Amino acid sequence: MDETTCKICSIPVGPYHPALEEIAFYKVYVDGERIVDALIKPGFNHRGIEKLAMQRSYRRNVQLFERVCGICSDAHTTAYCVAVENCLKIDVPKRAQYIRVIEHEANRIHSHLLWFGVAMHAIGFDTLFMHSWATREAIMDVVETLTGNRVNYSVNTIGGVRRDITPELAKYIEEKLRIVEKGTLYLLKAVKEDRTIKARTSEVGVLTKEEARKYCVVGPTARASGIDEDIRKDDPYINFEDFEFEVCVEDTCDVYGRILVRLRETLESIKIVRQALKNMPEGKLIADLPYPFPSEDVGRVEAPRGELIYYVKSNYTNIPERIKLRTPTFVNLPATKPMLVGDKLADAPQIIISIDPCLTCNDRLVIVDLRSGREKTVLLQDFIRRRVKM
Amino acid sequence: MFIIPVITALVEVIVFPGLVFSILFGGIIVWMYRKIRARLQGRRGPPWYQTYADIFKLLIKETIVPLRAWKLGFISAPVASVAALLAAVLLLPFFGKFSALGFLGDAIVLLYLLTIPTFAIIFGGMASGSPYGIVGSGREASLLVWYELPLWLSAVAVFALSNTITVSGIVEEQALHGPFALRLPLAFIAFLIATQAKLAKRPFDIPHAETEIVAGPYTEYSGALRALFEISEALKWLTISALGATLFLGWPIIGNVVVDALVFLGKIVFFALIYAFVDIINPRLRIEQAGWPLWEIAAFLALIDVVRVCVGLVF
Repeated sequence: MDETTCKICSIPVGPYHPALEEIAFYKVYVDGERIVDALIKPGFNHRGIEKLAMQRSYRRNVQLFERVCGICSDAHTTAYCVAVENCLKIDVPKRAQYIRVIEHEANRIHSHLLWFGVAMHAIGFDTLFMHSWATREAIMDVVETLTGNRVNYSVNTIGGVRRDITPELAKYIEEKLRIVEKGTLYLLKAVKEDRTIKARTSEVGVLTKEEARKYCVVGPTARASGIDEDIRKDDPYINFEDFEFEVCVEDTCDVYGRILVRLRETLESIKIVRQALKNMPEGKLIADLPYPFPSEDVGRVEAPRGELIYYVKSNYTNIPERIKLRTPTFVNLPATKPMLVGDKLADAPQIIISIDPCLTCNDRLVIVDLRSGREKTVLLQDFIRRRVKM
Repeated sequence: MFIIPVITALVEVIVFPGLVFSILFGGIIVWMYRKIRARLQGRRGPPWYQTYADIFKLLIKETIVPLRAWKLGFISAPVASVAALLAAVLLLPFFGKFSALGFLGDAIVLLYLLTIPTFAIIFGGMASGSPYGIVGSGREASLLVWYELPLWLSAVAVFALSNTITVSGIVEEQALHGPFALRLPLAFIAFLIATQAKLAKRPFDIPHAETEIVAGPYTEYSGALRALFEISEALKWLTISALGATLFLGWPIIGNVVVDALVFLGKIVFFALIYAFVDIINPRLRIEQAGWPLWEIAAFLALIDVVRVCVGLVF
C-alpha cells in the first residue's frame, strides 16, 4: 500500500459469505473494481484431529479421518489406510483394492460435480448448478447403495474393505453410471458452447506454469496450469496401475481450464469405475492383520482436490504414535493470491472457488492463544502431560 | 355530482390499477418467475402465496438501521421507489387505450418515473454505509448509464412513428396500424435488452450479484424497508412489462373495457415471461462486459430504427 491508500478500499469476503461454503476470511483490497491485494486468513475451524487420532486405535481412526472432510471423505480414509498398510507391511487383497477404487472414483465424480455446481453458482448460472447437482444425485445413489451412507462411507478399513459388491449391484452401478455420463457430457457441452461462461471464466484467475511450480499447487489446479501430475499415475496406490485412464491437462491456466479439467476427469473416473467392475477379481475382502511394530511411512492419494498425504508412525501399541496429514487445500490456498491480484472484484468468488477450497479439512492446527491468559496455556500443558502418561 | 369522479379516482388509485391490484399482481408475476425457474431447474418451486408470505414475514420482522447509515436517505429510498412505481402504474393504459391518469406528454413522465427506482436503489446503497452497498450502487449507476440510451432511443422510435407523446395516442396508433413490435423490430429487440438490464435480471443482475457482494445495495436492509424493496422489485417487473406492452404490443384493442384490461394483463404476463426465461438461461456478465450488448448492440439497433422512422422507411 503506497500513497494511493486513500483510493483503495477493502472488501471483506468471508468468514461467512454467500460465495464460500466454508469459513475463510479474504480481505480483498480493491481500487474501484480492480483487486490490488488480498489477505487470506483461514483458521476458523480448529478441531485438533491429529491429537485426537493419537488417542484412538488404528481401526477407530478410520471413522475419525472420514470426518476430516465431508466431501472427499473416501480419499481421507484411503490415504490413511494406505499409510497404515505401508507402515505395517500389510498385503491387501486385490478384490478389496478394486472395491476401494470404485469408492474412490465415485467419490471423485460426486466431488467434481458438486464443485462444478458451486462454480456455476459463482458466475450466477443457477440453472446449470441445479442440473449438475441433479446429475450428482445419481452417483450419490450409487455411493449410498454401495456403502449405506451418503457422506461418511465407513467402507474402508485397515487391510481391506467392509462391504462386497454383488453382480446385481454391479449392474445397478452400470445403469447409474450411464446417467452420470450423459449428464456430464451435457454439462461439458454447455461449458464449451456457452459464450457467457467463456467470457466470465477464460483469462480469469491466471496461474502460470512457473507460478504454479513456485506455489507447489497440486491436483486439478496444477493440471489446469499445464503441469502433468497425478498421483494415480505417478505413484500408483490401491492398484491404479491396472487401470487405463488419461491424465487431463489443460494449458489455459485459468478458471475455464480448471472447469474443463474437472469435467474431463469426471468422465475418466467413470471409465475407471467401469474397468474395475469389469475386471473385478475374486478373493478375500480383508487381509490378516499383524501386530503393530515400530515403523513409519506415508500414504499419498490423489484426492479430488489434489495430492493428500498421511504420515503414520507406529509403535508396539494399537494406537499410532504420530499421525500427520497434509490436505491439498493447504498448498492450493496461497496460490489464490497471485490469481486474485489484477483481476476484478466480480471474479473473486469464482477464483477462490476454482481451487475447490476445502477449508475445514485444512484447519487442524492447534494455536495457543496467548491473549486468552496463562491459565489456559497451563491447562493445555496439563493436558499434554496427561496424554504422555497414558 | 362532483363526488363520482372523486370516488372513481380514489378507486383507481387504491384498488385498480393502483396500490392493491398492482401489488397483488406483481406478487403473481414474481411467483410465476420462481415457479418456472424451479421447473426448468428440476425443482418443484413454491406455492402461489409464497411471495406474499415472504413480504408479510419481512413486514413483521424488526427493521434495523445501521449506525453508520444516513438515516433519512436509508429510509426514504425504498419509500420513494415504491411511490414512483405506483404513480407509474396510474399512467399505464389498463383500460384499453386509456390510463387512469392520462394527460398530454404522459409517456415521457412514465419513462422518468420508471428511472426513479434505480436512483432510489443507488441512493439506498450509498446511504447504508456498507462496502457491499457502495460497490453495488456503483455497479447500478454504471449499468444505468448503459441501458438508458438504448431504452430512450427505442422509445424515441416509437414516439416518432406514432407522432405523439401520449400513452393513449401510442396505443391508438398501434390499434389502427398493427403493433410496433412488427413495425419496429430492431427497436423492440433493443427495448428488450435494455429493460432486461433495467430490471437487473440475468445476465445483467450485476448490482446485486450475491456471490460477489452479498445483496449489493440491499445488503443492510431488513424488515419493513426490505419488504418495500421487494414490493418495488415486483412492481418494477410489472410496470416495465406493461411499458413493453404499451410501446410495442398495443394492437388488439377490442373496445370493451373489461376485455381490454384482461388482454393487457395477458400482455404483461407475456413480457414478464420473456424476462423470466432470459434470466433463467443465462449466467451473469461482468460489469465491463455488460456495456457491450447494451451500447454496441441495443443502442445501435434502436438507432437504426430511429433513422428508419425519420427517413420514412417504416411501413
